[in-house]
Amino acid sequence: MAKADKKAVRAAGPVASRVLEELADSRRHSVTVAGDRAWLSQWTKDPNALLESMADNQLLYRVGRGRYFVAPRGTFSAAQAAPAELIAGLILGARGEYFISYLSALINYRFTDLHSNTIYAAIPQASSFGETSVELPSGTLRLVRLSRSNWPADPDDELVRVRVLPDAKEFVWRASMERTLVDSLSRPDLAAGPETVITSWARARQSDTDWDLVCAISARRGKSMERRCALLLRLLGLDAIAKRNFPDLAGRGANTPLDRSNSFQMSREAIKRDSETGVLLNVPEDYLRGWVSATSAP
Amino acid sequence: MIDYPTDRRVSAEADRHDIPEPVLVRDLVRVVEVLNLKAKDFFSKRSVLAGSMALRCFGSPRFTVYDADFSTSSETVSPPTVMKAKLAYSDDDLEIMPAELVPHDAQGTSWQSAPIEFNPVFTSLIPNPDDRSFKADVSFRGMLLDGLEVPFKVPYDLDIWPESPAVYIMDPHETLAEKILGWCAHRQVKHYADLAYVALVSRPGGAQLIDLSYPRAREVLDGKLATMSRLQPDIYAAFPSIDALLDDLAQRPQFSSTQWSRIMYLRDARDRFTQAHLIAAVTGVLVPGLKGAGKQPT
Repeated sequence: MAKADKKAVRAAGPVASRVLEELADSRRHSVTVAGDRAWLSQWTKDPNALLESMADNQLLYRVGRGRYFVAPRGTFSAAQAAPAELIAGLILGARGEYFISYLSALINYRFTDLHSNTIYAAIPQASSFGETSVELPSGTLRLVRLSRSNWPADPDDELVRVRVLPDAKEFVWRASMERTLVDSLSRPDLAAGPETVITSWARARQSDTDWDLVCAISARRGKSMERRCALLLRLLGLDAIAKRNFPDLAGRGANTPLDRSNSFQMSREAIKRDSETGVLLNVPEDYLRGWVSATSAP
Repeated sequence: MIDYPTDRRVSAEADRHDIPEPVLVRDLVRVVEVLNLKAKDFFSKRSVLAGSMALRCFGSPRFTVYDADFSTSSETVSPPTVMKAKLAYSDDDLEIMPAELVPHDAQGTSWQSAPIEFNPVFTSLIPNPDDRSFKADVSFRGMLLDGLEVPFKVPYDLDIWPESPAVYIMDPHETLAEKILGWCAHRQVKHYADLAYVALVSRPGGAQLIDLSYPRAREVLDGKLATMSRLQPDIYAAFPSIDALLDDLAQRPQFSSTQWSRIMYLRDARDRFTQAHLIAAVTGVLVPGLKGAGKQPT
């Protein structure tokens, strides 16, 4: 047998076996010292030491301080045991509100065909979480702080609680399709750039996206987001929706860059201004048209 | 269909090429899909594997993440919806479950099955159910050239077969024409990257991998432009002739800082396939070749 194919033999003692059975009975794959101390204390005075020893014996994978995932038989890394999104949720959920959005959610909704090892998540400005990024077993968790005014006003419309593994009672919070589109437009740098953002909006036409809700979320994010949203809707041939939701929008006096990341770094002379919305087209116009048409013409 | 590799080998190979494990697993599944279609007599001179997966047979180091492109005819697949049965596959290690084929353009010349879900029993390296899908685009627009029967190549070393099976792929002249239209009309960087690759490996010499005839490439481009202008007149209005396409291609492209970073090359090719190198290949090799061929007496 090749050296690379050698497998570790895992042996669970009686207490470890009971922990694993308890987790299996409750349809869970994760366990944390902080959240599970009460029932773990039935069998041990030191839950932390118990879980650490189980991790040393490769019965659990460590995915953060005091956080573990059950190691399924035949696996050799935490990346096999749990999707990165679930690990991110485990880390963030213990510290308060969060939701996964931007490129991660665009991929989840299949608005883009990209793959990313980075999980993008929003946390409140006042979160006690100090880091801006956290290394995961198979990638990185990148955190974005949002002010209370930019936090979802109506969680029922803007967030969804998603069961990540079909057979587990473990969930993550993800931005709704509508919220994801607006978040990505507001931060193209966290959504693989304007090509991905605009093709995602174009693909969303083929889904059951609630465009009035997209407009409402954009409006709540401020006048600049209203303008960007109106411009994209017009590019997508959804002018009527933009007019219905933004009846008073006028371009006069406004100079709102479409791509806040300014990733094309166009010269000032090359940037045109859309007179109806006041949006500065700092992405070449033929690129915008091409990306939109690409979604209906492979 | 293939000898399914162990997780440890897939993991090591993904690490060697710096490709995410789920992306490599999805690629293996698409390889099985291609061989499944071969077993079901899908492939012939007029029914081929197209796009970037076909370019791999000429050594392309660009790794596609999600889609598989095919070009066929109503003689091979009629009606297009029967493609679903051809795409379906099951063995002890893998099950592939395609979605219904739906038209992807107004004329019904391009069809898509998305998502094609799969259950990869052979691996636990793709724990997120959201990652277990890909899509197939099937063009019925007709081909201008017969396909080529070549050894099917994969850019990794996993011993998945004793000898590369032969499959029909789109003639590289036709692939080149499709990529030129893809870039000029839709401004998708992946097309530009593939154009540059064709230009580089078709130069005469020891490293030549594609025997490209520029006069023939012009003829095919002319025919493809005529077809697409008829099918999508709005999109191709800016390109009344292939000279307009070549003038556009001769311009130095604008790439956003994020766009380029999303092109996924195998690790050992990244240093070579820089933005500057690829732009030089297109503007300095491909465009002069195509323009020069237009000036030669035929």
